[in-house]
Amino acid sequence: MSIPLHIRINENSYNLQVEEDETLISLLRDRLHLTGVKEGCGNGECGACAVIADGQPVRSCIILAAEMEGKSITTIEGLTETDENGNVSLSPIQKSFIEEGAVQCGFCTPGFIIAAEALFMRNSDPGDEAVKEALSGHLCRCTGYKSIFKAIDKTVKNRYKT
Amino acid sequence: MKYLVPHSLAEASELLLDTGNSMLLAGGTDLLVEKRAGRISPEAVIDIKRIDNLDRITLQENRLVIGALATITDLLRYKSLPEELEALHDAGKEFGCYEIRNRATIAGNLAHASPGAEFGSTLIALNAEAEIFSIRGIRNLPVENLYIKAGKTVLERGEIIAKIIIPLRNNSASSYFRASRVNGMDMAVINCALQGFYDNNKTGGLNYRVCLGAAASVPVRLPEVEKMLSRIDGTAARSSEVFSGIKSYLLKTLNPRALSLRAAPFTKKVLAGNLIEDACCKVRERLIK
Ligand SMILES: Cc1cc2nc3c(=O)[nH]c(=O)nc-3n(C[C@H](O)[C@H](O)[C@H](O)COP(=O)(O)OP(=O)(O)OC[C@H]3O[C@@H](n4cnc5c(N)ncnc54)[C@H](O)[C@@H]3O)c2cc1C
Ligand code: FES
Ligand code: FES
Repeated sequence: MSIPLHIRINENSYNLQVEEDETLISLLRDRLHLTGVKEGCGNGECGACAVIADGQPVRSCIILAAEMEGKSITTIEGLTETDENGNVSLSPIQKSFIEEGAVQCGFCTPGFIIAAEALFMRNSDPGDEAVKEALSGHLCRCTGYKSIFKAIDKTVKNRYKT
Repeated sequence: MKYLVPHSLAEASELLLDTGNSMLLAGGTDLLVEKRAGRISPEAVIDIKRIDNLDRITLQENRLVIGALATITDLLRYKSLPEELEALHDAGKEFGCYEIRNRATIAGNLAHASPGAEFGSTLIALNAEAEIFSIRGIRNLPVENLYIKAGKTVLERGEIIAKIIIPLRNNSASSYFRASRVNGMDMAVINCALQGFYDNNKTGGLNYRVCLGAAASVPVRLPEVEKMLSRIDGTAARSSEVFSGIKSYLLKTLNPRALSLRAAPFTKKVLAGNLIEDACCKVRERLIK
């Protein structure tokens, strides 16, 4: 059996039919092909699958799609902007990640960027403690985290330069 | 699997009674993990998140009331948390990570009944009660009497933890400490919640309530340790004597499960003693300013 789901994803509205036991990550990746959402552990521990739901970062591998009725979801794909000529521009956090070399294999990157983006939504000038809290529970096997913190720090600093 | 969305507690309770092998769904941070691991396969999940007003935390005259849907984040953001309930804040800060705290409810933490759950020991030390709703009636139960064994509570079919009620206690303070293998994102190897309180007239010395998590299959109160702690009179010599007495008592009496994933029994017993000392010192610091 399936049930109706009304949901906004990256500013687009969808009226879908979902299976009752379909997870949010499976809806996003397998059906809507938003494959920037990564599945690492599949049980809430790594953060690779993070998306923003109504302003709050959550882990899409341990949420049923059906639970998201009426909600507005942002995935990593929703952070870029495309102009009329098809040129894609990255968000300031995405740019800093590239500049600071905070991406190695890249599997954890969408989760970190989503967590940072959600942090900026609730706190425009986060200090080190707030950044640490927001990223706690996001695992990276490659970078050793330093470059990730640098990238976020840089984004904070750039904001106040402009 | 069916996905059901009740709009009242009564409807939720009825659905639980009418649908075989059904489970309540709150934040899903235990339920979805268990389901994806194949450890449970409910025929129906009953999502209670669309029931109004269940996420409230309210301070009443002599108690704090936490609704069934209040998340750990709601608790940490709650501005009017009475000072004497600081253990709740300590426990919330240790819990999982930011994104898990956004979904995980305090009631779900009790209902899942993990031996090392943050809020089991904490709410027991604070002498909290669960208000349990069913269409057959409402009953109040001390959290201390909620547990049967790991993963199992006394809740019967159709029963829902509607509220958690924590009494305020004059002249008291509380704290929570945990030992874990990593900071966050792992359950406690052992945890300890402690409340210290004077009797009403503040004539006698300090009394204590102490509860350990992950020391056994359910959170355990330690009445003997509570008595020993009450012999502390504030002098360093006396305190260290009491704490070493408690540590040898724990080595003799605690009996943690041998096959714990997180630590061997001996480690747990040693850590338990250390945490009790830390928690007691913190409570005294908070109380005797
Ligand atoms: C990555 C990760 C880290 C975690 N870290 C911690 C941690 O540090 N400390 C810790 O203690 N736990 C931790 N947990 C476990 C989990 O997050 C908590 O136990 C959480 O509080 C469960 O609440 P929930 O709302 O998500 O419950 P759900 O998963 O929705 O439900 C859990 C169980 O309780 C039942 N239930 C839910 N609400 C009620 C109710 N009102 N009345 C009766 N039954 C109910 C459900 O039917 C289910 O059986 C972690 C989990 C994950 C995935
Ligand atoms: S894939 Fe969801 S937290 Fe790891
Ligand atoms: S860059 Fe490879 S896991 Fe983080």
